Amino acid sequence: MSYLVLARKWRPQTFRDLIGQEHVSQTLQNAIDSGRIAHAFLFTGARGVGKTSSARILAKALNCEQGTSTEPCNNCSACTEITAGTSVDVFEIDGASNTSVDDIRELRENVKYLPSRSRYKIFIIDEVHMLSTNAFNALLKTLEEPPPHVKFIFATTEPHKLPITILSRCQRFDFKRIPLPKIVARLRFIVDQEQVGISDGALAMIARKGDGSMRDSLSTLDQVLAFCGERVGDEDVVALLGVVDRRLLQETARSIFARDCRGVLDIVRQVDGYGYNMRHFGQELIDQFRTLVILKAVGDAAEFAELSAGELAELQELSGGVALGELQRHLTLLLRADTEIAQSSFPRLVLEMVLLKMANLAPVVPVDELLARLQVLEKPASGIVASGVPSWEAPRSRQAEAPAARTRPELPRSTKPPQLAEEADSPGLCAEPAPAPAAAQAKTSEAGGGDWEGFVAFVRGKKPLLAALLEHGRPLKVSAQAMELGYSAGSFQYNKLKDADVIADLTGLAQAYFRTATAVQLKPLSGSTEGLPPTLLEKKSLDQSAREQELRAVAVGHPLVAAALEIFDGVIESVKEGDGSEKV
Amino acid sequence: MPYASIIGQDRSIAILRRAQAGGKLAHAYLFDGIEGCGKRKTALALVQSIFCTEREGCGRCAACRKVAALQHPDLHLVEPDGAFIKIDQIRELQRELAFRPFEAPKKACIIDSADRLNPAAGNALLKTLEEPPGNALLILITANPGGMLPTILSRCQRLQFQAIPQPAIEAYLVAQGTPAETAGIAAALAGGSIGKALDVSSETVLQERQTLLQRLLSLSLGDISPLFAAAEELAADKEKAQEMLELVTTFLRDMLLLRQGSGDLSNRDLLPLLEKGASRFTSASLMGLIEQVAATRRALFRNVNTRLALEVMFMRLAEA
Repeated sequence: MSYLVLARKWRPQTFRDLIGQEHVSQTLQNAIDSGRIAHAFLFTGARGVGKTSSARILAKALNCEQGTSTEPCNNCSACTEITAGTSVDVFEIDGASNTSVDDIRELRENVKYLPSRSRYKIFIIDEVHMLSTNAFNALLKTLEEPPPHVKFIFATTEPHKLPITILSRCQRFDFKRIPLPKIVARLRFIVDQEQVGISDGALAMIARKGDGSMRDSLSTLDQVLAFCGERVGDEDVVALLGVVDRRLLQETARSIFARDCRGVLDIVRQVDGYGYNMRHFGQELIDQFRTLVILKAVGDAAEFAELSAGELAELQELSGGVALGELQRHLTLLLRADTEIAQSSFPRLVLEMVLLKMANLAPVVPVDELLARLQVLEKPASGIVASGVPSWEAPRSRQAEAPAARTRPELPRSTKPPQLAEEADSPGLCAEPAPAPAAAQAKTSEAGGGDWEGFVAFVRGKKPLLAALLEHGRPLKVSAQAMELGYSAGSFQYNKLKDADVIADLTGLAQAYFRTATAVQLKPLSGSTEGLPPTLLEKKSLDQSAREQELRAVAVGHPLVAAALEIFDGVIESVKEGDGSEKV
Repeated sequence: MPYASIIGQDRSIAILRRAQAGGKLAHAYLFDGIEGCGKRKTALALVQSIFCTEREGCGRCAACRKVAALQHPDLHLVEPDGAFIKIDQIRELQRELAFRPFEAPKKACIIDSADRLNPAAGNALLKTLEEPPGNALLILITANPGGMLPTILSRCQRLQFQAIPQPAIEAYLVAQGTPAETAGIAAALAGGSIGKALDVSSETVLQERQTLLQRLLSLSLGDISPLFAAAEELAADKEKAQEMLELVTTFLRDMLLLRQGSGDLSNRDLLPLLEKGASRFTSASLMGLIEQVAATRRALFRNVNTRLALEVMFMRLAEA
């Protein structure tokens, strides 16, 4: 017999051996004791918590030759056959490999016959979530009312994939993740039986790696034993599991809080040098920041983090000057980086980048503080005056301010917005040629009047892309007979337009607009463009700056603006046009 | 000695050897490590050491040579068929494993790129992986354990293969006859993978790198036709586009490191160009660009139009 891994060798054979699932074993035992045994069970839970083991134990408990009992004897032929997987009346079916409706039909054929030796015919379907929809549906009737000699036990990690019609026909048992101390205790029991010397600290490390799953923990233990033999040293476990040095993690956090970019990069180099897995390091870092956040939030993290008091105190000191919000932002960045590291082919780089980003994170001001500052500002004008104006002026300004503050609500509505809105609506000042005037111009051009702006607007209606190109051109000559456009030589627009097809298009459009045959010519320009007619874009920006000047003049002349300037001791930075609908 | 021909994985090999010597070889292993760091070689060496008729993996006996040539009747190799490993392949494997071994002491199976098991196939493997028929040995190989079912991970003994340290790669390349300077750069760019180092160390690739960097730095929004031309050209080969993005990332990273005053550069030979680039950007914009390149990579993984994605990225580069 070759070597059997620990997870198989120490698979629980009685309900007593089943660790951490007392709620399940208790219920099942009571059911057996009182003779209220359902005909279909569904065991769900994470990997390696005892679903398949429970199914086998239950099968043994039902079929044991000593009589149905809560603790199977594990000696009779029925029990040993089930353990070995050779029982003729217990079918352990791999639901993920036998997924089709035909497999289920075969099973239904089989259900009809009485068990050959035992009390019950038991069907254990493991990984049942992989059955096809048809297979599930084919099972429904049998599952609801099976013959009295048949029991079904389903096991799966993904109960959400089962149809509700299946779920409603089964007694469901949810297996829990196994708490750390219980795993450690079980590991201790096993290593004692295997006569291996190992410290509790090392076992805890192994159990932590298992993350609530017994099989994961045992696989890791197996690996450790294979590496170390009979005597296991703590440092061997550390090396083998790649457990990241706590000091390095704290150093990382310290560098981040100190905004030390070089230090952060150095740490990544160290991590690389030690041969740590980057993703693993990132996850450990996430764990540390989680602890830091918890420490900040509740103060006493002992029950949430599996750390010693000394370690907690170190972390507490580490996060002393950092705000909770900031820690949470760090944590968010790390979490996002984790998925990226998993996908990246260059994980080191991702880690470097996220740490640099964390070290460069702009400090946040808590909202509470901002609100408090705002409240100070909102209080009677004294606050404002004190901040902006020299103190000897204060009394006078305050008197002036008082009436202004009272009239403030009415002022804007009465004067400024209507004025602005009016201007915005007046057609002549619109920056873009509106469709209406363009149409009008198109009509006037029937008489043969040449007009560049009108032509571009006309083109925009037909071919927007072409119009965009034209906006960059300088209309050197525009008349009904000939059009000459200038573009800087080698520019993107010139290269696009010089295409023969485009020219043909343009000529056609010009013809349609001017109602006569128009010759279109392109001219490459080089050197200074001074003295040439401006492009539409330039014209537009000129118009806009003129408009801004005008608005500025209006604003400066406004009494409210003047008052604001005086109170805040400010300057006018920019003037923006409202769309007329908003409240000022 | 096949084990001896594997570089930089002494730790993993030591673990396997000790397990073997102590008769504690598990039935299912997961070899996890970056692409090209020797996982498959190690797996084959392990199978050889079990199948070998002479000593522990002599590499010369009939059995060893059959394994090396993947011709051994008791060795089954499962690889992705197209994009995925499909359930029929797993069913076929289960059938094979149910037989007794022909000549070797046990059956062995290597599943390469195990992260590409599609969901049905992965689930179908679970029962076999937990309690294989006979005493078969299953070795799963992956560069991306995050993409695998937790239920599979939990059933295997996991062996993490380290990225090979830069000096070891450099030494290996030099021993292969690569000039020392090229070897240094290739080792820095390889990110711990021998396979990649060999790729990079060819003269043309190094030269291409320089032209790429020059091209990137010369992009501007003022004249966008070369930008579009570059995108079109680089998008022609999708595989290559991915590699190119990686290179761009290393360039940006080097510029960032230059700005932060750290000297641990990957592209040492391109220092003057990098310095020129570094002076053009700010740290913040560099980080933004790296983010941008990462986003483009993700987009390519999701099968977007390569050319459009590259165009957008180049425009962002030119704009910064």
